[in-house]
Amino acid sequence: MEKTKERKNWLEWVVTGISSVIVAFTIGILIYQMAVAEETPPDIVISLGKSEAKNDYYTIPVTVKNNGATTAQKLRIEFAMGEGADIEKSLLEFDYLPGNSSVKGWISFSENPQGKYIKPHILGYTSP
Amino acid sequence: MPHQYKSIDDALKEYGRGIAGGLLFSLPMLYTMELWWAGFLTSPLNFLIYLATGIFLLMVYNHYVGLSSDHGLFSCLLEAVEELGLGIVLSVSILYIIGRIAPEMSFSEIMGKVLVEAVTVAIGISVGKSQLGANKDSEEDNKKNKNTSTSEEQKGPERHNLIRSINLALCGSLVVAANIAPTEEVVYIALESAPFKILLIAISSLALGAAILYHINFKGTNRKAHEEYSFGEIAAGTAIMYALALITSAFMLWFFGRFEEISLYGIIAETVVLGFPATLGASAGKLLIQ
Repeated sequence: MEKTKERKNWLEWVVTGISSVIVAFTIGILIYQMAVAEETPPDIVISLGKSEAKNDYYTIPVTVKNNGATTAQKLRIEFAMGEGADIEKSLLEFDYLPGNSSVKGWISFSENPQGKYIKPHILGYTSP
Repeated sequence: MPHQYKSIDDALKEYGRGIAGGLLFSLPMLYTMELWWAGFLTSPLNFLIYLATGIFLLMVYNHYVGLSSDHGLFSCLLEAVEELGLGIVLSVSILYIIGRIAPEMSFSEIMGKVLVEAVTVAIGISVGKSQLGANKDSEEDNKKNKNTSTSEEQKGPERHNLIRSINLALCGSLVVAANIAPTEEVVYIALESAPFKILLIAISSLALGAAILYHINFKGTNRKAHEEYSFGEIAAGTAIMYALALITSAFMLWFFGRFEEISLYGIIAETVVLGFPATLGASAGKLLIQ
């Protein structure tokens, strides 16, 4: 082993050193996750941004966050704007929303959403 | 020859070969959607087992095949860790360039996506470093190998060769199987094919494996060129190789969660279906990765 130590040059030692830190860090995080993280079911939180006027429609940015630890698959969220007979709907679909992550999307309406109430409705999701 | 430093230029070239090899084997994976998903669908325990398996295979590979074949256990481990670290860095770079990891993703999602790829990249790096080398190096290696193998042959060439072959078969089949295991297609083929077709796949795998191992070996390699194989030897060698391919297939399918909530027949069918390309990897790997 003495022999091999002397054969490595400084560049190889730097690469080996950095690699060791990365691998040790990764394994450490994995063990930590195993020990600490619990498998909480998906917990979907939706927040709407400011509406923006386009040519002949209006868009609203939507941020969907999953506060649970488990992935939500085939997530579908419906948005209803207005009340009573004057309802306009929009739909968002996400293939996957991993735990503790967020995705961004845009919903669009033909009416101006300014001052109107938009109600999000999480239609459902499956576990992967 | 003791105590000489490798030049920086040589070291850089070696890393370059490693990176080329790593990309050669893993770019198909990095470009596959199911692998990005597998990154956040896989549990930390599975990742740990996968990493441990990867490090073990790399260590054995480095010990028997890689450039440090005359080195001790600890330097093999260091080498394996170095390759895995490079694999992680390379995976992060590529996944970032192709837009699969971004700052708004959770840390565990990013780490999962990277780790799924990193082991194959690391094996590719290891193979690239030792196999894609320049002629000058490989001639020296050959000389060195001859020297070591003659001294080792007295100790027990049988065992040495067997472990070496098994490890080569495992590495070859892992690299190939890892590219295919996460795809949906394996499940479709396994569950939609009639049982006799699954059997046909198994028979084809065996035939193909035997042909590659024993037919091409006649022409390609030096050591056993003059030896004649008995039917028993061919049957045993093929059986071992196929068993290794099936083990790798099953391991990769389990790692990617393909065995969850599925019947025993489904598990076996999936393993056989993936066993076909894995066999190619196992038998061709033995010839390509010498």
